[in-house]
Amino acid sequence: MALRLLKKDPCKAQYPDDTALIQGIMKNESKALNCLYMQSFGKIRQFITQNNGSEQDAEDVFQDAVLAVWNNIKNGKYEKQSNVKLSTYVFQISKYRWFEQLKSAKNKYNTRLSPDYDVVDEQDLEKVSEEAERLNYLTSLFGKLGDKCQTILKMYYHEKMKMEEIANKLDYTAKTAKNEKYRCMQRLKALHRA
Amino acid sequence: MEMTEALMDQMDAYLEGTMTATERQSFEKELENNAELAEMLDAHRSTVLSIESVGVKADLQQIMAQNRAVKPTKVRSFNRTVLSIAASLLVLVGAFFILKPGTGSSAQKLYQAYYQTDPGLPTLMGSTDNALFDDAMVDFKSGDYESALEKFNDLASRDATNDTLMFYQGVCSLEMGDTEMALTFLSQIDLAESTWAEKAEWTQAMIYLANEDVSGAQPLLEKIANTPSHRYHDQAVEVLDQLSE
Repeated sequence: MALRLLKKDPCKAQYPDDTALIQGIMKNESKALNCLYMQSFGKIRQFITQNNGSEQDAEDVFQDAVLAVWNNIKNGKYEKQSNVKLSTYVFQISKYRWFEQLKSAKNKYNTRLSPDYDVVDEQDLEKVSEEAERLNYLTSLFGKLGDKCQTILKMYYHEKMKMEEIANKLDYTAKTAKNEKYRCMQRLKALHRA
Repeated sequence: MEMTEALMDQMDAYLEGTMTATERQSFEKELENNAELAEMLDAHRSTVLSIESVGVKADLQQIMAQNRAVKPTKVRSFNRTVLSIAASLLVLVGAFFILKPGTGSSAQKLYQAYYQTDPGLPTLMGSTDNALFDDAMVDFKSGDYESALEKFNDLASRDATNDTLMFYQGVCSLEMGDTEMALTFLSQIDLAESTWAEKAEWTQAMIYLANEDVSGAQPLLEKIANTPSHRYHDQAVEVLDQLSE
């Protein structure tokens, strides 16, 4: 028997299956994202670096793919993919997005990739990818808000903090914090409409 | 229709799931009858998601940066023979301490007593990647798990659902001491359908024991012990007996 330097698997303890992992992702738990990273990034990095890509490309593609999956989960659309493991789904989206990038730079690379997305429907990948692009665009508009607006909206919508907690942290009254959140949302919505 | 503060609060409560059943029912009824309201809710959901995604993106970047910082540098140019000798010495020294009678917890002792490395496959997989797979299998059988894993990973990057590859990726990772990665690969195997399911199940149970995680191993062992036709049935019954002592 060979020597083994054994490590515990904290992901398995906290998220024993995909259902638990998806619930964690739904709640924007960074531990859940970390576990998804542990489960899928190695394979994605291997695939991309073996197909004309760099480590940085692998990280970019992984980030886009996770955001696409996260968006799908949040919109309640991931249920339809319940026969596919979450990490496999992330890998398939990464593969699709990388293949699309290579296709758009086909004169630069002589790729040996083939678009065989055997466990996920290609049309679904395309749709998920398009939605992620749209989300990326909307996300970029968030940076146009002032710092105070960014902070209050992130606290409320991403970190799921209660209005009283936000008011406390920002030294506002609860009423002012609530009004500010409304005002900032209206500004962001106006940017989205523009 | 104007997005008032009260309406925004109502939409937030709906999306956050904090409405009472009656409030929810009434709001959904309104949505059915008011297309403009439904459209506004969709737009609101998009805006909320775009805010949340900023946070998710920042979390992902932090996760990647942290892992980048701890990732070991691969020494590719180093003489492979020297590395092999050094690795063998480490194995011998480590094995002395790990296998020395009376060391380790009872769960680890059970792992040491019951786990046996898969002997590998004698036949081809029947795909165009046979040559590389054979090559990987030769490495695997000769105990060069690092090289075998690189080749299995290469094959898996072109065939993400191949459970044979998942199994051997898992075993190679385990042999290299990375139980976390081993569990990741093995847990991707479909336990209801795959021909590798029984081996994957048993190996996962063994990994949990090795990690002294008896509560992780127990349900798998019980499942195996409750399946008389399972190839590891007898061993699972024995291990469970010893765990209960």
